[in-house]
Amino acid sequence: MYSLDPAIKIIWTINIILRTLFYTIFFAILDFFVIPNFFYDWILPKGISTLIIFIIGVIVAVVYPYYYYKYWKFSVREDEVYIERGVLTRVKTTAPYLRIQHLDVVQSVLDRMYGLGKLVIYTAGTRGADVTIPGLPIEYAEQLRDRLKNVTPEDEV
Amino acid sequence: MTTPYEEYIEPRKLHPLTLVYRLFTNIPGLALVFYFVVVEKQSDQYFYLILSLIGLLLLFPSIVLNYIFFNFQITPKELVIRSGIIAKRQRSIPLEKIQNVNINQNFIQRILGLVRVSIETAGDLQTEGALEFVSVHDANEISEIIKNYKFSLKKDKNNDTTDVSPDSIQDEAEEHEKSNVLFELSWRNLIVYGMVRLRPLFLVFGLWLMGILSQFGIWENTIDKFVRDNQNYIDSLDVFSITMLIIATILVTVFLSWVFDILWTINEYFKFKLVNEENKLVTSYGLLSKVRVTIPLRKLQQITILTNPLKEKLNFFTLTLQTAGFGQKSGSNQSVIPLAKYEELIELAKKIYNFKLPEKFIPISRKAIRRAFVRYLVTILLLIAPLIYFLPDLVWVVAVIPLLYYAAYLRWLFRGYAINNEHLIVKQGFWIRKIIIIPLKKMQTLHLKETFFQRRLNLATIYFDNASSAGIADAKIADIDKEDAYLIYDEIYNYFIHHIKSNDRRSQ
Repeated sequence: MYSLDPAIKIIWTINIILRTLFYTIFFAILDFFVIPNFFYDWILPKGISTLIIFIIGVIVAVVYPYYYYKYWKFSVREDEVYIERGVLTRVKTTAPYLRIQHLDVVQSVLDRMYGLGKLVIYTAGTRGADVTIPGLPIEYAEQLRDRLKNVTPEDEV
Repeated sequence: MTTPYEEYIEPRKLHPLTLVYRLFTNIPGLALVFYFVVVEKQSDQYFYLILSLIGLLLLFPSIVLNYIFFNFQITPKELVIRSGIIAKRQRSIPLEKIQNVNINQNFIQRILGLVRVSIETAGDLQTEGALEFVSVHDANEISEIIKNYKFSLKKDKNNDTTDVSPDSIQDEAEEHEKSNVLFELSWRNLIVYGMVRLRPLFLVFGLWLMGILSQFGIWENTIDKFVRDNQNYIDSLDVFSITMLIIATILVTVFLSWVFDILWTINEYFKFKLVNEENKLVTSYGLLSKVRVTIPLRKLQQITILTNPLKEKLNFFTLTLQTAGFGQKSGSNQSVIPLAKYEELIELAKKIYNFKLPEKFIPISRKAIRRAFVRYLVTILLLIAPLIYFLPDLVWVVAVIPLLYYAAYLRWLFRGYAINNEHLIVKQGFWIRKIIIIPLKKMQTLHLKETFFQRRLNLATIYFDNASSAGIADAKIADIDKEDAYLIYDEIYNYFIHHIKSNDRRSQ
C-alpha cells in the first residue's frame, strides 16, 4: 500500500482555506448587510457567526488534511487498483483494469506548483463511475496511466 | 445483392407534415408571449412582442431550410443521412452495424401520421441517427429493409448458394416474430395492473385534481352552503364532524389519484407485447403515444422483480430489466412483464436470462434496526421541532415515534441478500419490494463503506456498481456485520476475476 505525495497536504490546506474565505465572506455579507435590514429581532451579536465559520474553517484546514492523508492509501495490483480512504466514513474501492474505459491525468494550478497530478480512472459504472487518485508526482501519474492503458481491454459492458 | 425497396436508393426527404409538426411544437413559447402582451395587456412595452416576432421570422426559414437540406437514402450497404444548411453533415451507418431500429410516436405525431425512427448501433454515438419524421408506411419499410438485410446476411452465411427472393425473406421474418411472442398483457390484466400499482406519486395528481374541483366550486361551495344553511348546527358542531369532513376529503383525494393512476397505466401499457428476437427483446405498447423499444440482452446489467404489499397479497409481480447505455448515453430501465403471477413470471424471466433464486435470503444485521431508528428519529425531530416551537398544541405528533421504530423494523425485515456462483441477489424495500438479480461478472467497481456510526456498531455496507443507469442502481448490501462484509467483498471480487480470466482463456 502506498501513500500519496506529502505535498498534497499543503494543496488540501490551501483549498480548504480558499473555501473558508468564500464562506466567511458569504456570512459576513449576511451578518452586516442582510440581517440588520431584514431581521430586527435577531439575537446573535453582529459578526459572531462569521467569526465562528472562520474559526471552524481554520481548524478544519489544519487538522483535516493530516488525517485525510493518513488514511489515504492505494495499491496498484496485478489485476486491479485498490483504494482506501476517508476519516469519518471509511471507503474501500476496487477497480479492475478490465473495466477501465479511459484514463486521464489532471493537473490543477496548485498541482502544477508542486509537480503533482491526479489520475482519473473512468469506468462505465454509475455510482462511482470515476475513481480518482490525487497527489501523485506527475511523472508517476503519467507512467501509471500508460501502464494501465496497456492492460485495458476492448470495452464490453 | 440488391435492396428489396429500390425507391430508397435515391435520396429521400422527410414527410412534409414534419414542417407542420415542428412549427406546432415551437409555437407555444411564442404564443405565451403574445397572450401576455396582447390579450392580457400585462406589459406596456412592446419589446417582448417585437422580440417574439423576430423569433418567429427566424423560426420559419430555419424550419423550412432544415427540412430542405435534410435527406436520407439507403444504399445496398449503408444508411446515409445528410443534414445541415451551411455546415453540411453526412452520416453513413453501415446496415450490418445497426443493432436496433426503434419506432416512436407521440400523440400529436400520431394525429399527423408521423413516426420517429431512431437507429442504434453497437458503436458510439457517432454512428447513431434519427429520422424525424417519416410516414408510418415508410418507417415500416425502412425497418424491414434493415431487418431483411441482416436476415439475408445470416442466410448467406448458412448457405451461399440459395437464391432467396426478398418477399420470402420478409415472410420468414414476420413468421419469426409471431412465434416468438413471450408475453402479452390482456385487457383484464391491464386494468388490474392499474388498480394494484398504488403509486404514492399519484397522490400529488389527486391533490391537483382536488384543487381543480374546488376551483369549480363543487366541493367548497357545497361546504359553504352547508355552513350557511346550518348556522346553528355549525355552532354546535363538534370535533368529530370536522374530523369526518377531513377524512372524507382525504378519501376522495386518494380515490381520485387511484383512478388517475389506472387511466395513466392503461394509456402507458395499452396492448403491451414482449417479443423475443434472438439476442434481444422487443416491447411495444402505448395508447396515446406508441413506443417500440429494443433491449439488447448483451447489454443486460441486472434484472429486478418488483411488487408492493397489495400486489404481493394478490400474487402479482412485475419484471424489469436494466441495461447499459450506448456510448455515453446512460442506461435504461425497461418493464418487460408488467403483471404476472409469480410462477409464470419466474418461468418467463428464466427464458430471458437464466438465474437461480435462493430458497432463503440472509438477513442483514439486527443492529440495522437501531441505526435506522436513530436516523429516522433525528430527521423527524429536525422537522417537527420548529413546528412544535410555534404551535405547542401539536405536541401529540411526538406519538409517531414508536411508529418510527416499527418502520425501522420493517426496513430490516424486508432486506436480505444471497450470493451464489454467478449472482448477487438483493432483496429490499417495504412499499416498493424489489428482488434485484445482479450478475457478478457485470461488475464495474466494488465499494465497501463504513460511516462513523456504522463503525461504532461494527457494521459495513457493500456497493456493487454496474453500468445500469444511476437512478435505478440502488442495490446494496446495507448494514451487515463488518467481518461478513469483508468476506463477501473478497468473495465477490474473486469470483469476478476468476470468471473474467477463465473467459479470457476460453477465447484464446
